[in-house]
Amino acid sequence: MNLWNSRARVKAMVALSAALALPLAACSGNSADTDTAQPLDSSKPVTLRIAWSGSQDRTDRTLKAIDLFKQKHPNVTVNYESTTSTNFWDKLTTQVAGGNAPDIIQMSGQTLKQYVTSGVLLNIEPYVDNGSIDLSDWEKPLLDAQTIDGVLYGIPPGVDAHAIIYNATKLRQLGIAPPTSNWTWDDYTRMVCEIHQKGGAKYWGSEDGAPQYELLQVFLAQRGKKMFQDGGGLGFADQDVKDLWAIWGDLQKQGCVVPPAVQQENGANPEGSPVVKDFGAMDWTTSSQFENFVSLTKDQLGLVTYPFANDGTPGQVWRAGMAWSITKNSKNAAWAAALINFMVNDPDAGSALGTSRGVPASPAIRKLVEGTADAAAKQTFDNLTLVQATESAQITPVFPAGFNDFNKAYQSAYYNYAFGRVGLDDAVKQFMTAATAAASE
Amino acid sequence: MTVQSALKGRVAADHGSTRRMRRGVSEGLAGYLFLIPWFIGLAVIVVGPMVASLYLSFTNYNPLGSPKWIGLDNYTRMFTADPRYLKAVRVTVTYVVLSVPLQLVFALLLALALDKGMRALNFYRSVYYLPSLLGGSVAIALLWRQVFGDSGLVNQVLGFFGIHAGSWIGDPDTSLYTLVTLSVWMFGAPMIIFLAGLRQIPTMYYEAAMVDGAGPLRTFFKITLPLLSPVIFFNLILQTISAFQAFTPAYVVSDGTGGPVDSTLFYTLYLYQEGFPNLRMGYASALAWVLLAVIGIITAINFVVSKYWVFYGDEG
Amino acid sequence: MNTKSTFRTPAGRFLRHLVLVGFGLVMIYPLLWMISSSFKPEDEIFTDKSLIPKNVTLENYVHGWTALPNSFATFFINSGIIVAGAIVGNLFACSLAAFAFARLKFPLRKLWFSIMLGMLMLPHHVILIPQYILFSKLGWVNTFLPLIVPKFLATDAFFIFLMVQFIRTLPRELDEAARIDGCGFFGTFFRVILPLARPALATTAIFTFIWTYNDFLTPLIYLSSPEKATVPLALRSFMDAESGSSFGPLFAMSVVALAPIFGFFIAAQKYLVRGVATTGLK
Repeated sequence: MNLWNSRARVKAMVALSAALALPLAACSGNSADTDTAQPLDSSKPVTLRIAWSGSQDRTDRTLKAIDLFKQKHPNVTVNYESTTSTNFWDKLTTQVAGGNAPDIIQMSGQTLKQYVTSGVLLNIEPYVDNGSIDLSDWEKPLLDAQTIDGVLYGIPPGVDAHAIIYNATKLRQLGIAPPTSNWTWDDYTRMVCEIHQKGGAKYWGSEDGAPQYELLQVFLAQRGKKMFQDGGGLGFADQDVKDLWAIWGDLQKQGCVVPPAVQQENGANPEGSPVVKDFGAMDWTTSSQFENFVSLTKDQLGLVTYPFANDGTPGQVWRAGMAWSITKNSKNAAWAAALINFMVNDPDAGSALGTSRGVPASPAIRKLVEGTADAAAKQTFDNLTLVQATESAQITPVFPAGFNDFNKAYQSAYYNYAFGRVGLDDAVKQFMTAATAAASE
Repeated sequence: MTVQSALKGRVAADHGSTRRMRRGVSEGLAGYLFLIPWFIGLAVIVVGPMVASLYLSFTNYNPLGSPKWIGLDNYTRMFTADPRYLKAVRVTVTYVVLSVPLQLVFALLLALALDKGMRALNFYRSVYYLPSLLGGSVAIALLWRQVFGDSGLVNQVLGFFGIHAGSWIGDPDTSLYTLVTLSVWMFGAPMIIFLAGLRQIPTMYYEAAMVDGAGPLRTFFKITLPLLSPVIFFNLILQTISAFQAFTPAYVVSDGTGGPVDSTLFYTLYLYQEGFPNLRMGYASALAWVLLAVIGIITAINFVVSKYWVFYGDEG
Repeated sequence: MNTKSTFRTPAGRFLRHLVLVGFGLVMIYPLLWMISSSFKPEDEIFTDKSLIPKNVTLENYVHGWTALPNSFATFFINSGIIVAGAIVGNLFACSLAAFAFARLKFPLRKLWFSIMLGMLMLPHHVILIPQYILFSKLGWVNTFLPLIVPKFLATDAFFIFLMVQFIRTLPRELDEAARIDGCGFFGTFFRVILPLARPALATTAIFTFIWTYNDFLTPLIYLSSPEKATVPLALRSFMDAESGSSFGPLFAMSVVALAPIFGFFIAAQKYLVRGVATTGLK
C-alpha cells in the first residue's frame, strides 16, 4: 500500500497547510462582481495600483499620462510599480499568489490566457458597454485578439508588426541595394549570401531567424495555415516545419547567416544583435524595436517587412503585444477602467505616451502621434501601415496557455538541429511531440 | 607564558562584572537561551514556508491558482518522463565536481600568497577581491562575452598564436566550462574565509616550529593545514552546497535559458523555469526537495569523513 | 611579524610583484572594460571595442545619477539602511547561536545543528511565495522589514556555521580559564570568545554587506514603491530587453555602485588582523 497516497495522509497535509494559514488560493476573487460595472464615484478618495514592465523612457512617459489623469480626478491616487520585463512576471506571479495583485496590469499576449484561465483577470466588457472605455472606432480584429471565450480581458495600448531591421550603412558600403517591401524568400537567401561573400568571414548576411516562432507564424500564413487552430490543437504538420528549417539548414551550411554558437553567445536582446554589434546586416524582430536599435548604433538602419512567399503571397502578421487588464481583486475596477480609457483614448495622454508601447492602438491617437513622430518613429508607422495593407494580413491571436512550453520546445529543437546534435527529421519530431502536448493545454 | 595563564590574567581583570553571571544557569539551559533568536526565526520565518513547499511538492500548484493533491506524481515524473531534468542533473554534477575543488585550491593558494610578507598585500587583496564584489550584476553577462565571446579576449590571444577557436560561450561543448571559470574567477569569498582562518592560527605554533628547525613545507603540512582544517571543511561544505544551488551565473550569462541547447541548465535554473515562467510550482517544489535530500546526504557523508581529517582546537 | 618569506631579496620581491600585478590585470580586465565603457558615448559602447575610449564623456555619470524619478542618492540611502540593519542583525543573532552550537552541551544539540544546516539546502525559489504570503499577512510588504528582521532571527545559517567553525579552532582551555575565573556562559561569550573571533565577525560583516547590498531578488519581490528601491533594483531599470536599455548610465552607475562595497571591504580588511590570542601572547 502506498502510504503517501492514503487518504489520511492527504487530510493530514491539507490540515497542516491550513493550520499554517497559507492562503494559497488567495487569488480567488470575491470583491469585484464579474458581470456588472461599478459606478464611478468622485466624492470618495481612491487609490489605484498599476504595474507595467519596460524601459525608463516608457515609465517616464506613462507617469506623465497618469499625472494628467490625476489632474482631472484629484480624488484618485495612483501608485505605480515598474519592473524590467525580465523580472516583471516573477514579481507579478508572487503578488498574485499572495493575494496582493495590482489593480491594473500590463499583460502580454503570451500570458493572457494563463491569467484568464486561472481566474486572475476581470471581464472588462461591462465597462465597454457602459461607455467607461470607448472602443467605438477601434478595429475589431485588435479586440478579438484580447478576447477569450467571447469575453474581453484586455485593452491593447499599441500595436506593431513582424519586421526585419537592416544596417543600411553597411549595405551601401558593400554596394548592395537594400531590401524592398515586397521581396521574397529567394531574394532574402540570395541577399544574405551576397552580403556574407562581400562582408568577409566574420560578417554574416543575417541573424538566424529560425528559432523565432514569429517566422513560423508568417511562413504558415503564406501557406494559408495557422500555428494554432481556433478550437485548440496545432494548425500545421511536420512537413511545414521541415520545409522552413531546411531553408535555414542550407543557409547555415553555406555559412551565410550567423552561426548558432555566435547567436547563442549574443542572446536575443537588441544589445547583442548582429546589426548593433556589427557582425551581421539583418535582424528578425518587430517594428516597435526599431527606435531602440537606432539608439544603440551610429549606423543608419532600415526597416522592412518579412519576405513574401516566392509566389508573391504576403502572409504578413501584426500584433498587439500587450494589453491593460484589470484584476478581479481590484476594489476600484470602475476607476481602473477610467484610467485605462484615459491612457489609450485621451489625446494629451496619447501625446505623452507617444510610441512607448508601439504604434498607438486607437485610430484617432495613432493619427495624432504619427503627425508629430520623428524620423525613426515615422518608419515604424509606415511599416505597420504597409503590413496592414497587404492582402489578408492577420493579427496574432490569443495563444494557448501552453504557449511558453511550445516556444521553448521550438527553440530547443531547432538549436539541436543547428548544432548538429540531431538530424532534421528527428528535430522536427522532437518539436512536434512537445508542441502537440503544449497546444492542448 | 602559556595561553591559559595569559588568558587567566586577562579574564581576572574583568571578573568583577562577570561574577554575577556565574553559575546562574545550567549549561543545557544556557544553550537554549543563546539560541532564542534562532528558534524564533526557525519557528516563524523558516519552518512554515519550508513545510508549505514540502506540501506543495505533492500538488500540481500553479501560483496563479490553487493547489490540488496529486500524490507522488511530481516525483515519478522527474525520474521517468522528464529528459530535461536528467540533463539538468548531469550539468549540475559536472559543475560541482569541477568548480568546487578548483575554486577551493585557487582560493587557498591565493590566501597563502596574500597572507603575509609584503606591505602592498592589502592592495592586491582588494584588487583580487573586486570581481567577487560584482555578484550577480547585469554587467557580468556583458563582461563575460568580452572575454569568452567569438571575438573576445581569449580568442584574440589565441589568434595571436594562430589558433582560431569559435565562441566559448555559444558552443554547447564549452559553455559550461566558461561558467566554471566564472566561479573560479569569483573566488573572493572562500579566499577571505581562508585568510581569516590563517589569522586565527596562534603564532606560538609557528615559533615552536621555527625552534624545531622545520622548513616552510613541513610547517605548512604539519601546522597550517591541520589548524586550518575546520575552515577548509567549512569552505568545502558551503561551496558544495552553493555549487549545487548555483543559479546566478547561468541565469545571467544565458539570459535565463540555460542555453545553448541546455548545456548550462543548472538544477536550480531549471527549478526556477518550472516554478516561475512555466508556473509549475508544485513540480518545482518537488525538484527542490530532491535536491535538499541529495545535498543533505552529501553533507552528512562529508561530516562523517571529516572526523579523519579535521582537527578542532577544542578537542585538544 | 617574523615569519619566513621566500621572497626576501629585492629581485625576488620584484618578481613577486610582477606576478601579482600580471595576475591582477587578468582578474580585473572585465572591470576595466566596464569602467572604460562608462566613459564612452552610448552608441560607441558596443561598436568601439578598445579599452581606451576614443571620445571621453562624463555624460553617462551626470545623466545616470538623475535619470530615474528618484536620484541615486535615495537608492544609496535605502541600500545603506538595509545593509546596516542586516550587519547588526547577523553579528548579533548568528554569534549567539554559533556560541551555543560550538561550546555548549545541551539536549538535542546535534538535531538542532542538522536542522540549521538543512536551512541552507533548500533552494530559496520554492519558499519565495510562502514567505511572501507570510510577510504580506504581517503587513510588511513594501517596507524594509522583510529584508532586515529575519537577520535578527539568525536565518542566515551560513554565518552561524562560519562562526561555529572559527570558534571551534580556539582552544577550549580559554573557556575553562575564564570559567575558573568566575565567568558565566554569557561572560565567557562576551569577554573571551567574541574578542577572539574578531576575524570571523569581520568576515561576517564583509559578506553580509556584499550579499545584502547586491541582493536583487528579495528587494524585487518586497519593495514596490520606486522611492524604496535599492541600488541593484535601480541599476536593473536601466536595462529592458523589450523596450530599450541605457547602457551608458548602467555602466556609469554600476561603477559608482561598486564604490561603497569596495570602500567597506578595504576598511573591514583591517579587522582581519590577528586577534589577541594569536599574537599578543608569548
